Amino acid sequence: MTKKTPGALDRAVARMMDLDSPTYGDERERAVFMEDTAFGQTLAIYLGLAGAVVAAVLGQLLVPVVLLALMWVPSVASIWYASRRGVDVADMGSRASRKTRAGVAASIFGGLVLTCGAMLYTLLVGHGLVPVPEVDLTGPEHEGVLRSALTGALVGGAGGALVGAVISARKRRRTAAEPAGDDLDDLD
Amino acid sequence: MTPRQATDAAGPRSPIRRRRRERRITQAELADAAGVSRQTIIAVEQGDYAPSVYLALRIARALEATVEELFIEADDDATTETTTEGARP
Repeated sequence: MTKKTPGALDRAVARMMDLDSPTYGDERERAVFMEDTAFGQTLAIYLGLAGAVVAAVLGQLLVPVVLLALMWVPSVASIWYASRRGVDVADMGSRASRKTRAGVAASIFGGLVLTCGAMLYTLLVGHGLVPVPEVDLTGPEHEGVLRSALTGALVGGAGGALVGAVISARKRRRTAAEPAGDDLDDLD
Repeated sequence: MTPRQATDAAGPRSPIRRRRRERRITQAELADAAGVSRQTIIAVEQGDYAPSVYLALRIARALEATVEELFIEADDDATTETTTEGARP
C-alpha cells in the first residue's frame, strides 16, 4: 500500500470492491477470483475490440466508438487502481518477452487502426466496407413479427433464468453435501 | 533449504497430509482451524498452491508442527548432514 491520501474516488472504489468482504474467501480463493476477473476483463477488451472492428466494417459509426470506450475505460481504471497501490502496470508490461509484447501491440493497435480505417471509409464514401441490407420492420405489416419476436425473447429469457436458478440451486446443494463424505475417506 | 515442490512432495507424500493423518484430523477440521476452505487445504496438500507465510504458520500451528517440517526440505540429505554435523560443538 502506498501512503497516498485516499480521495473520494478511492473511497468509492473501496466501497464498490469491498475487499474486506468474506465473499472473497481465503487467500487462495481470493487469488483465483482476482485471476478470473483479470481473465474476464482481458477477454472483454478483445471482444470489445473485435466488436468495434466488425461494427465499423458494417458501416456503423456510433457503435464502434461506444465499444472502444467500454474497452478503454476498464483498462485505464485498472492502471489507475494499480498505480494508487504502488504497482506500475506499464513497467510490468515492459518485462514481458518481445514476442508477447509484439502480439499484444499488433492485436490492440491493429484493431484500432482497422476500426478507425473502416469508420473513415464510411465517412468518406457514405456506406460501410460491407454493405448491410436495410431491413424495415416499422411498418404495420411487420408489427406481428416484432411482437412475436419480443414475446419469444421474453419467454426464452424467463425460461433460461429459471433453468439457471434450478441448476445453481442443485449445484449449491451438491457442494454443501460434498465435504462430509470425502472427509471420511480422508483418514482411511 | 528450498520450498517443497509439487513434484516431489505432493499427494500421498505431502508432509502436511502425513502429519494431518497422524493426528487424525480431517481436511475439513484442518481447514476450520486454519481459517480457509477445504479446497484450499486439498490444493496445499497436492502442491497446487503455495500458501502465504501467514497461512503456512496457521496450518503448522493447527498440526502442532513447524513450518520447516511441513513446507521446507533440505536440498539433499548429504548437505543437511554435513551442515548439521559441522554445526555441532
